[in-house]
Amino acid sequence: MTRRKLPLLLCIATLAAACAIVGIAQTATPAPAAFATPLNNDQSGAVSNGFTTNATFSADEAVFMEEEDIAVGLGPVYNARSCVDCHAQPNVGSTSQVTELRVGHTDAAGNFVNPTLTINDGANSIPNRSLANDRAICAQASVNIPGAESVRALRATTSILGDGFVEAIDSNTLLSIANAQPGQSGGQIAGTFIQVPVLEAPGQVRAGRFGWKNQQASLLSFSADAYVNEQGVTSRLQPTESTTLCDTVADPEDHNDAAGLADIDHFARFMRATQAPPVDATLAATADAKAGATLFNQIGCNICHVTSITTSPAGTVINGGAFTVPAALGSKIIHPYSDFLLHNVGTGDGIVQNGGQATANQMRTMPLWGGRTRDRLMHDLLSFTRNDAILRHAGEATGVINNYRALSTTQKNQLITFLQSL
Amino acid sequence: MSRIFSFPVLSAFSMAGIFLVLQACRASNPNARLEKPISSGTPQPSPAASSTPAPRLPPPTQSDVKAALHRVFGDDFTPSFAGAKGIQFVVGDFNGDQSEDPALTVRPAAGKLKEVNDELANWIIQDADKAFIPPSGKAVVTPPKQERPRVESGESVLAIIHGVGPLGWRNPEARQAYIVKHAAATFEGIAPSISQKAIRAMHLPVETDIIKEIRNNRKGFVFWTGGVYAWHPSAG
Repeated sequence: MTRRKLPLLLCIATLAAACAIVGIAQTATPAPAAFATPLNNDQSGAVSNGFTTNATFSADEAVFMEEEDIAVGLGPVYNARSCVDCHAQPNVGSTSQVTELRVGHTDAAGNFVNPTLTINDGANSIPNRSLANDRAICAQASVNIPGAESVRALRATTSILGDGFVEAIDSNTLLSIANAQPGQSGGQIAGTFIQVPVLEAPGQVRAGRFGWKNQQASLLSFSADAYVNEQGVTSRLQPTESTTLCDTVADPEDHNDAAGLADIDHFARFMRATQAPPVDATLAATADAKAGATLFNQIGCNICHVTSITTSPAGTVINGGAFTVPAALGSKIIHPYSDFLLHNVGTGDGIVQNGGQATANQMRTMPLWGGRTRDRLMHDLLSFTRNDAILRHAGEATGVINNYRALSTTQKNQLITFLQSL
Repeated sequence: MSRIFSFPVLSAFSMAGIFLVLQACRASNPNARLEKPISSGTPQPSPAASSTPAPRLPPPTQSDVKAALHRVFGDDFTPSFAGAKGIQFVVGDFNGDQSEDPALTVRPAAGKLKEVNDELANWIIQDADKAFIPPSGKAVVTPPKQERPRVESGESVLAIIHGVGPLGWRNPEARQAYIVKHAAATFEGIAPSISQKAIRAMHLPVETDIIKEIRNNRKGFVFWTGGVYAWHPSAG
C-alpha cells in the first residue's frame, strides 16, 4: 500500500462506517419489555425503556403516583386522587378492577347525545359530558345522573405500559391495517380509523389510538385529558373545569415545576419511557402456547389483534410537529395484539366521543399484551373466563369466532394457553 | 506526509467524516421523516352493523328451530317441552342488534352434562338471578367477580341463539348462544324492553325485546342488560 492511496482508503472506510451506522439505526429491533415499575412508594426498581434515564423515570413515576388534594386543584368532580389508583395491576401504569360509568341518551333519530348532569340539587349543571364522576370535593358538586340518560356503560381502566411505542406508530401504518382488513376477512371486518385533535399542536389531527374510543392520539393530550376528567386538575391543554362549584384554585391548576415541566409533562414522559408488557417467556415457550399462537393467526384473531407493529423510525416528527420520535422509541417491533382501530364486535356501549355517530357501538380493539394479569375481561370486565370473552365477540368478529367454535377442545386449550402467555 | 496521517489525526478525520455523513443523511430529505398527513372521511358503520330494524321473516317452523338448536348445540341439549304442539319457543331481537333470535327451554341431553359444562363449550352459561347491572348514579364501579355457573342434571335452562344479519338465527353463521339458568319458564310472549318501567329505570345501553314468562308461579321477564341476560319480576 502506498502512502498516496491511504487518504482514499480512509475516505472509503469512513463512508462505509457511516453507512453501516445509518443502516443499523434504521433496522427494526424488539422493544424492551418488562414489568419494571413495581409498586414501591420510593420508586425503587423502576427501569425505563431508554427514553429517559432511570433517575428521571423514577421521578416521573413519583408524579404519576402522587395523591392530589383540594389545594392543588383536585375536583370539583373526580374519580380518583392519583393515576396509580386505577393503573396499578400488576405494577404502576397497568390496569385494575376499576371501571367508570359513561352515560347519555339517544335522540329521536337514534343519535347519541351527551347528557347534562345535574349537581347542587339541580341549581347547577355539567353540560355535554358523558363521564359521570363518582366523587366530588364538596357535597354540592356530587353528580346526579338524570333519569332520562338511558345509555349507561361501564369502561375498564386501560394499561399505559408501552404506550410510548404505541404513540410512535405512524398513523399511516394504522390506516394500512384498516385498509387491509376487508380483504383479509371477506369483507366482514373493517376497522374504523379516526383522527383526533392533538391538543399540543392546535389545528393538527392524528390517528386516535388511546382510550376505549380512540379519543386521543398523543400521550401529552391523553395526560391532560385524564388529569382534568379523572382528577379534576386543569392544565394548559385542558384549562376549563367541568364545574366551578366549590372550586377555589385558579385555572390552570397544573403549574410548571422548577424544571419547567407541569404534571402532564411528567405523566407523558413517564408513559413514553415505560417498557412494553412482557410475555410469560416460560409459558410462551411451551408446545401448547406455540400451537395456540399458530391457531390464533390461522382462525383470524390476528386480523384485529395484530401481532406485530413496527414504530416509526427515529427522527420522525409526529403529533402535528410537537414530538420527534427518539432512538429509544423508533424502529421498535412491538407485539400489542391490537390494531388500535374501532370495531363493532357486538359489545358496543352506545357512547359517542370523537368518532362520530357511526362509532357509537364500536370499541377499540383491546391490546392483549399483558392480558394474563387480569381475569375480568372485555371493556366492562363482565367476562370471567377467556372462553366466555371470546364467545362474547359477535358482529364483525362472527366469522372468526365461528372458526374458534370449530376448534377441538385440545386446540381451544392451546389457544387459551397462548393467550395466558401474553 | 507521514506526519500528517499519524494515527490521532486519522482518527479525528474519520470521526468528523462519520459525523458529516450522518448529518448529510439527516438533512438531505427532511420531509421523509414527517408523519404524512392523512385526509380521512367520516367513519362509517361497521360492515356487520345494522341501523335498520330486523326485517320481517317468515314465521319460524318446528324444523327451523330444531335445525338451529342442532347447529349450535349439537346433541348436547334437548328441548325441555316437546308436547303435542312441538317445541315451545319465542323469537325476537333479544340483544338489540336488529337481528332475530330464538329462545327455547332446553335441558342437558342424557350423558352430556360434562360437555354442557365444559369450560371450553361453544356457549356462555350464566345465571339470570346473578346478572350485574351497574348501579344508577355511580361512576367508579367494581363489578363483582363471579364463579362460572354449572347446569345440573335434568335442569331446564333457557337457550338463546343470537341471529346474524337480516337472516337472523336462520343464518348459518348464527352460533353465538347463551344458556341462562333460572330463566326457563312458561313463555307468555315478547314485548319491547321500554314497555317495562323497571327496565327504563335501569338505563340499559340498548333497546331490545324481552321474554315475558311465568317462573315458579310468578310473572316476570328475561331481558338483555347489554352483556348478559337477567330476570326481573313484573310490577304488581
